[in-house]
Amino acid sequence: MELKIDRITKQYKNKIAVDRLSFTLGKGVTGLLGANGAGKTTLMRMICGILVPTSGDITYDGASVSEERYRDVLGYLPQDFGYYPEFSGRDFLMYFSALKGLDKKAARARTEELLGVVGLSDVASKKIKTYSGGMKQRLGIAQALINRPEVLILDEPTAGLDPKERVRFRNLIEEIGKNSIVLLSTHIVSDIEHIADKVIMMRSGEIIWQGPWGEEDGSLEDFYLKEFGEEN
Amino acid sequence: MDIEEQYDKIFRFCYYRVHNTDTAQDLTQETFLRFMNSSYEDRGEQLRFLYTIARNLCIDENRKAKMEELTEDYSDDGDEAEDLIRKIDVNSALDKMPEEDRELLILRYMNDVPLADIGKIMGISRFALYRRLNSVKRDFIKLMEGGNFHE
Amino acid sequence: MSKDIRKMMADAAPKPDSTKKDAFIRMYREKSEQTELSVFDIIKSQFTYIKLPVWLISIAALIVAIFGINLNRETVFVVAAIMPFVSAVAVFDSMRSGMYGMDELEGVTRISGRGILLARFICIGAVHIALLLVLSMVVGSSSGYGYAMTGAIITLPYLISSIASMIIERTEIGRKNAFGCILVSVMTSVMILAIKDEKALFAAKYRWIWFVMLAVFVALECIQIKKTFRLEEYQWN
Repeated sequence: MELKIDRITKQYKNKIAVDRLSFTLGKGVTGLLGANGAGKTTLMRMICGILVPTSGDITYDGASVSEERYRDVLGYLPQDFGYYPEFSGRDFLMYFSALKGLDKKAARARTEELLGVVGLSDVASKKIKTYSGGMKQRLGIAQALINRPEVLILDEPTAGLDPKERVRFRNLIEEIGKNSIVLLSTHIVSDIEHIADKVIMMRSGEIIWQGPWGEEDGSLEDFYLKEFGEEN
Repeated sequence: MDIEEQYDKIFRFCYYRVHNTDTAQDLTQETFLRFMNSSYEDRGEQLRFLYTIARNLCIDENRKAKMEELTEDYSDDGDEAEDLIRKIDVNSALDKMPEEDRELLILRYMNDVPLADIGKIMGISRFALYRRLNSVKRDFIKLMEGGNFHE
Repeated sequence: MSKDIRKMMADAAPKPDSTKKDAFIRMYREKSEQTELSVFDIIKSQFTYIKLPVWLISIAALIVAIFGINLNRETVFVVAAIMPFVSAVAVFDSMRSGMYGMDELEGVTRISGRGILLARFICIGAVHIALLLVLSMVVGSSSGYGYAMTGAIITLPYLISSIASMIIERTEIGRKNAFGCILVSVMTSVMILAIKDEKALFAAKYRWIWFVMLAVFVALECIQIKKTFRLEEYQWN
């Protein structure tokens, strides 16, 4: 279980969004820290195979990110996502279960299970447009988990969650990280301080620091502020 | 037969035979592995076959563990107190029932197994199954009322 | 009573450890022979999600055709004026992933964004080809133009509006709202109704022009479909 990012670059007309990044991810939770516009989302989209890098390779256990075999083990929560207006929470998960190749019965079982995991069972038949921001975000997280992913990419997953939901989310991610590769981007240090096994810090498309992070390393917040000193 | 659909059901079935979540989970997984490795072709009978494997594994397990003391563990994953009490009530009522009656309740009401399949799994006729199910249901309710069950 | 017991039992059911369960199901899936998704699987996954208006407007065109049999020549143009809407609604519906912000989520599924678009195009395309054929038959039988010419008059507006809709839908603004598609359909529709009394255009000696145009627009349609399938890159902001 190894996700290898090898010298990837994404260049737009007059701007380099991601500049020759290389790193390897294994089992566990990796926190991707950086201010808005640092290139986190571009990087994550490339890892998910929906954005083609200008150069460089991304492979998972030898498979390219453009293969069905990879998408089969991938879970992704984009920073922002929508839904078809007629969908209820349950419809949403059933729809993505079908797209992820689960048959009807399996889809139903998995949908109910996940609604329970993210605490939306009671409102499952309600239209998504009646959901609060936090509920919608929880639905997005459930969607990313449908296929029991080996690679889970979460772009600003805690946006819109209230403090109670955040705690619940952190526990869930910590649990999933035991068996999967989890990459989680955020600009809020406390989101990952206690659950990340590894931290990558990005600025202007480059990695400015990466390494394992444990309780014994002290306050990640302080370190982050120091590294990004000139911006804050 | 799909593992997403059946996993939890087989797990519950095993749990009420071995009364331990870890053991039940191991037996569940063993059940699916054996199911996968078998050359069982008849699709219509898959469910019955799955339960039969599970039951045999549980019987073996209980025979091995007979000398050891049984330790029950209720998983209390953040339940509200009231829910937890209800959960314990239901489980202790189930515990008080004879093995076969309990199995019948679990197959029918917890796992939603179709009656035709239950008949085959337990080896009784459909008619006998109806009668049996009604009396078992009554027994269960009586046990619940005898406990702290108020509706 | 049974319902109560069911609820009670469901709540009391023990739950397996989720980490162990995840790992096992993953391993189980890997071991059991899993085949790649077939085109049929993909089509099945999308068919039920195609929205009702797409089918309704096709049925509307058919009803007009059937009830208009006795009106002879007029029917051809009424049906032809409906066709731009039939195609625009279909294009709009198949490309709604982008409008509703579902494209990224759909893109990372096994089926992939492209697969979804393909499935929707196949479902709707097959029905529409059948529709165009049936309409040509029904209307053509009494229009006085013959089947082929009737088919051309009906199909051309369909193609024009679907080509224009696809071009619009591929742009950043077009994908955000339905206005472009509606505008294109209305324009095509008006155009058809405007020329309908220019009898000379439909005279037998000019009919070859219609067939050449039909061939050209079929080719353009194919090019647009191909372009639509080429995965667009996201704009970075």
